[in-house]
Amino acid sequence: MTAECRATRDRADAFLSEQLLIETTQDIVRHLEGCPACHAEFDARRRLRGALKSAFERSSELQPRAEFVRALQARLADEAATPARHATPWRRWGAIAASGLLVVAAGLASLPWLSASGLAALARLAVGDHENCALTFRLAETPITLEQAAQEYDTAFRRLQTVEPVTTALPGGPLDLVGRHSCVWDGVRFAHLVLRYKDTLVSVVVASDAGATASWIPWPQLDHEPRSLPPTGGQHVASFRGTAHTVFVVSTLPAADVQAVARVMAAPVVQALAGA
Amino acid sequence: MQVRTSHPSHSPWEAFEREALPHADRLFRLAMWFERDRSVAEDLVQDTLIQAMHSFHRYTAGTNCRAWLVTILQHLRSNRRRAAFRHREVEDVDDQIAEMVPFVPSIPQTLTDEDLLAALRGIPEPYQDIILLCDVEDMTYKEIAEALSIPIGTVMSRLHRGRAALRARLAAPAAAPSHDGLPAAGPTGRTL
Repeated sequence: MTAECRATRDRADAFLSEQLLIETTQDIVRHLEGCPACHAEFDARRRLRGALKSAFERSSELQPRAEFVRALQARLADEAATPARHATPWRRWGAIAASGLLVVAAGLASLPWLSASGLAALARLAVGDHENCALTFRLAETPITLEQAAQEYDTAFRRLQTVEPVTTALPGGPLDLVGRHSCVWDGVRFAHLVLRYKDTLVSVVVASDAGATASWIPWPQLDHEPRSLPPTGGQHVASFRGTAHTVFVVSTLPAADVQAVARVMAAPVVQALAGA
Repeated sequence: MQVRTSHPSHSPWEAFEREALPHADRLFRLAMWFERDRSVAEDLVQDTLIQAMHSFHRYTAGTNCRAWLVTILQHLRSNRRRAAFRHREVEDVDDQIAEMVPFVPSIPQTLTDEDLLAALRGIPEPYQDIILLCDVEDMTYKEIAEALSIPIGTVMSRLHRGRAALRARLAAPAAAPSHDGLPAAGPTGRTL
């Protein structure tokens, strides 16, 4: 191991945590490109970090109980409705919150974190589709064209054949649409648009309400405006609703970039799904 | 059909619902890991969210809401620990772990979720905290420093030592004692 290897490995933690300056990061990347041993070491550390994150998120012992979720709903709704004792802006909205309490409670009941079979479940499938279709082709079923999918499963998919982002350039560089098809992951059929931004693949995954479990829909917290969801399996996810469909934008890019891509895709996708 | 709340747009409740509540499941998992007791974790998460709701006007839109929530949770947790006289002097642990990990072993190729979480549970708590906040919650060093009320340099040194200790545990899983029943994780057998 050379002195440069040692210096590089000393900065491995900060590198993997994306805490280094761009210049330092570039120095490390250059070293890794020419040093298989350090490359393997960094790769192992990165995989360990990803595996730990997945293990933590999957652990059933760490999930909240349904009873707790219900009690928390009630408590938060109560707090929102009775803010008078708090000298905060909540005071101004107390009456409004109280009048909308039942509706809010209904909304909470379908928030993703309140239901294992909710939006988070479908987001996980969308992430799975991105990983196993766009990134590594490991699908059990060969993708079909959107036209074929429209004939057999969902006529709205036909209108996604001509969807383009509202701009082909974002602050981080060009945004290219590199492919579109319909594919199946874990039993759910999606329309799948694959884009490239900052040399990274980004998936726009469209799921039909017709193919979803009833408990998945509707999600009152979603509308046509893209919203960031909690990262899933190391991927950042943004989501928005189209007519009778839920759309996910998935990538390993930072959340802000995923949100930026979602924003330029939302209008054309929503219009296409509405038949406009 | 799309159901919307009856609140006007941009109401504090709507903003809180949109920005903060989606992080509640992660918040609970963290609390559950930290406290190792479901009722204590539930209490902690509930108090965190209530405090966050009433302090939401202090949250800066566009910043990391999850980090902000974790900071509230950690402050509540810290206050409770102090109140219960259970606060540990982590400097001792720093010295202890520095002696425990003279070298960084290689990472085993095949590890299960159980292996990973048991190994994490096997290292000193201050290092568990840092690794979780950095590697699982993707918080920056600065956010972690604020959440734990420690200097950034301490975050960096604990992260380095903690990761080394984790690798040492993973390299010798048989020697890693199980401190408690938590957690029996999900799917088994994945190759790193």
